[in-house]
Amino acid sequence: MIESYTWRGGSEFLLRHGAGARITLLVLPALFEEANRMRRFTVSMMRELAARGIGSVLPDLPGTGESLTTIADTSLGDWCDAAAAVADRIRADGQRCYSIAIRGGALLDGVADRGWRLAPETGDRLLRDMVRATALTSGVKAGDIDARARVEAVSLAGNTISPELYTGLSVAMLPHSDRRVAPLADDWPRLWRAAEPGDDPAMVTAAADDIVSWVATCDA
Amino acid sequence: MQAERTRIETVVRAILRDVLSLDAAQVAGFDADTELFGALPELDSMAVAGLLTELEDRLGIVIDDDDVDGDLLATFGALTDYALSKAR
Repeated sequence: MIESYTWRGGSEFLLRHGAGARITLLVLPALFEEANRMRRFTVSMMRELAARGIGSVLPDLPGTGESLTTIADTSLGDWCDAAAAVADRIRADGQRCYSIAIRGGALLDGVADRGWRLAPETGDRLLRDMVRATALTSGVKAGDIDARARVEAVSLAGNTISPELYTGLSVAMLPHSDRRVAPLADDWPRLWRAAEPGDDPAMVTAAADDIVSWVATCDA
Repeated sequence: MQAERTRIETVVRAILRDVLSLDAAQVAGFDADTELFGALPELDSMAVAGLLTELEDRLGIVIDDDDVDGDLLATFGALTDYALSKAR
């Protein structure tokens, strides 16, 4: 179900599965190109959780998905504030806010009371992948791209990123150390790395299993 | 020396197979001359960047950003040679 939410910068879409459930998880998506690669997995996981009686909402962050804002006009603070607005909405329904963060989405999960993370990643490592990918295709040295991105908007692996977002991410550490990190089997596909956006039913089931038991401990 | 090369090759193959979801039989058949970046559709630039990060994590090496260019990923042999030079 598509809904919308408002934050100080405007209104964005939000995807909900499991409406009316006693628990609504805040899903914080992977960032940039990884968001595309993880979209199918993320939504499949939400459906699986809904089938098990757990609701979840996946917001479009400002500058992503169907957002009318461009990512070039977006800062890390905007993303945190947007995530906080959705968390407040969950709390307004009388629930505590538990987050499910995928990869760089974990950078935003400080807005939640408790959190579960899949392969969380720091901002500088996300940027390094994008800078290197850009270096590979442009022939410009990675160090030169990094220096430019700190003072002007640059296109990195398909996203135009402002200096505010770049420098914000470059020092962004993962908030909170008490988050549950999903046990990632060595042979699970690293879907966020694969060029073809994929799904993996076994990984969806395993993630949902872990989330269900984690939610039970949060509620205990 | 040969044992170290074999170890690195095993890690590179594992990353190509598990991380980038390349076909296991295809990866097992790679030799030093097998072309990678630009030759395999599964290896777009973001996938290659991710491959480098996984190599760093799994081998405990640091890849110099100035070394990241198309030549580094041109062939399976070139990538393995580079990883071997950094692992010493």
